Amino acid sequence: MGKIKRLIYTGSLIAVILLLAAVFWFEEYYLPLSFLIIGLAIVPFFIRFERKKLRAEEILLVAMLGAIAAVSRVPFAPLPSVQPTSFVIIMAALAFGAETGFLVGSIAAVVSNIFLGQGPWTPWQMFCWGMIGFTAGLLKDTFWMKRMWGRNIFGFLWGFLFGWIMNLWFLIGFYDQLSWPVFASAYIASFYFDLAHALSNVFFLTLFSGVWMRILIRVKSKYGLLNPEDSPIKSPQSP
Amino acid sequence: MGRADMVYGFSGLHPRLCLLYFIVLLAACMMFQHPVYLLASLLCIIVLLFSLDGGRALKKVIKGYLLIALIISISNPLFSSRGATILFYMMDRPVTLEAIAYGAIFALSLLNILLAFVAFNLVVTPDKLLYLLTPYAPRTAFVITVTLRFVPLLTRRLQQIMTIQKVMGYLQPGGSKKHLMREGMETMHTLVGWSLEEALQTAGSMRARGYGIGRRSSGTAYRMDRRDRLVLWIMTVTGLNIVIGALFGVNHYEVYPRLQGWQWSVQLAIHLLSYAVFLAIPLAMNGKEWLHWRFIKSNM
Repeated sequence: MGKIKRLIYTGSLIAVILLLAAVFWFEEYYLPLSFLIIGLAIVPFFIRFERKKLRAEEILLVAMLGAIAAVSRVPFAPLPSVQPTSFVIIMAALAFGAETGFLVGSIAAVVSNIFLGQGPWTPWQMFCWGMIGFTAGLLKDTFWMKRMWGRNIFGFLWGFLFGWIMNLWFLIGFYDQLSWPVFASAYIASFYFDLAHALSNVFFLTLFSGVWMRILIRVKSKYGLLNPEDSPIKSPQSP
Repeated sequence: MGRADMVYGFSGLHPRLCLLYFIVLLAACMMFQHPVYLLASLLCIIVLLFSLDGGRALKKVIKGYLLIALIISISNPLFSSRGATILFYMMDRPVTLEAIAYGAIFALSLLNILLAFVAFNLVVTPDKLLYLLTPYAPRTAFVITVTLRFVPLLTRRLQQIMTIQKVMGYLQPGGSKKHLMREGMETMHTLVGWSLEEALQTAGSMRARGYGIGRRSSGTAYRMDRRDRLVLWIMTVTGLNIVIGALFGVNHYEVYPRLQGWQWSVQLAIHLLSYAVFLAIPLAMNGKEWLHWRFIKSNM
C-alpha cells in the first residue's frame, strides 16, 4: 500500500511539474522555466541527503566545510575578486566524494547569501558551486585529477564556466532576441572577473592542494568518515 | 516609521502566508509584461520597503540595481531590430520603438524582482526560512542551521588568527599581491586545522546527548490565528482571480510587431483591481499599525 501511495505522489508531482514547464515553454516565460529547471537539478541531491543513513559526524563535517567555504572570503577581502570558495569546495570533493562536494558547494552558497542577501541568483550559485564539487568528486579517481596539471586545468575551466552559467540567468529572462552578439558582449563584459576566478583557482590549487589534502585525509581516516566499513567508532546511525 | 526588527504588521503574519505573498509577487513580476502591472508592482514594493525599515535597505542597493536596469534597457534596442516602427538607423541597424519599449519593460521587470528580494530578506528572515524548510527537509534545515552558527564562530577565529599574524609581523598592509594571498592561505590552514576536528568532537558530544533519537522538535512555533485565516482568504480569492485572468490572457500585452495601444475592458479592470488588492495586503497591515501608533500617541 505504501508503495502505491508513493508512486501516486511522485507521479502526480512529476505530472504537475511537466505541465508547468510546458505552460512556461509555450507562453515563452523562459525566466520562470529556467528557475524550475535549476530547482529540479538541485533537489535530487538534497532528497538523497535526507534519505541516506548518516552519522552525526558526517552531517557536521558537511556543515563545517560549508562554513569554511563561505567564510574563506574574509582573509582575502583586500584582494578584489580573489576568493578561495571554489578551491575549498574542490578540495572537499576530492577528499570526501561527489555528493559531499555538491552539498558543501550549495550549502556554502545558501549560507553566504543569508549574510549577503538572497536574490534570484541564489539557486544559480547553489547549482554552480554544487556542480564544481560534484564534478570534482566524480573525477577524483581519474589519473589526471591526481596530477597537479589536471587539477589546474579543472580549476581554470570551472572559473570560466561558473561565470558563464551565472551570466545566463539574466540573459535568458531579459533579452528578446538571444543572438550571438548578445552572448558575446555579456561574456566579454564579464571576462575580467571570470579570468580572475580561474587564475585564483589555479594559484590556490598549485600551491596549497597538497597541504589541504593532507589535513582532510587525516581527519577522514581518523574518524572513518563517509565510509562506515572502516569506522573505528561503532555507533547508532542517525535517522 | 517602522524598525527593521519589527514583528507586528505584515512581518508578524504566519511565515507561510508571507512566503505565498512573495511567490505570487515574484511570479507576477516575471510573467506580467503589462506596463501598468509592472508600475503598480514597483510602487507597491517601494512603499513596502519604506514601511518595513524606513527605506534603509532600499537606499543601500538602489544605485547598483538602477544601473543594471539601465544597461538592459539601453542594450536591448542595440541588439534587437524586431518591431515595425523604425525610429532611426545606428551603424546600419534599424533601432525600433518596440525594441526600446521591450527593453524598458524588462528592465522594469528585473528591477521589480531584485527589489522584491530585498523586501523578502526583510520579511522572511533566516529563522522563518528554516521553519518553513524543516517539515520537508529536516536534515537540510539542520545542516543550514549549524553552518549558520559556524560562520560567526569562524569569522571570530579568523580575526584572532589574523591579529596574531599581524603581531608576528607576517601580515603587513601594502605587501605584494602574492604575499597577501600566501598569508591569507596560511590563515585558512590554521583555521581548518583548528575547526574541522572540533566539529567532529561536537558531533560526538551531540550523539552522546541523544541526537537522532525520535522526532526533531522546532524551536519556534507559529500558529494560524483568526487574522492569518482572514488574510489567507483574501489572498486566495484575489490570487485565484489573478491566475484565472492571466490564463485567459486578460492582461496580455503585445510589444511586437507593433506597440499595443491602450485598451480598457471590464475584465482588465476587475483583474487589475484584484491584483492591486493582493499587492496592498502588506501595505494595509503595516499602515494600520502605523495609524494605530499615531492614534495612541495623539490621545496621550
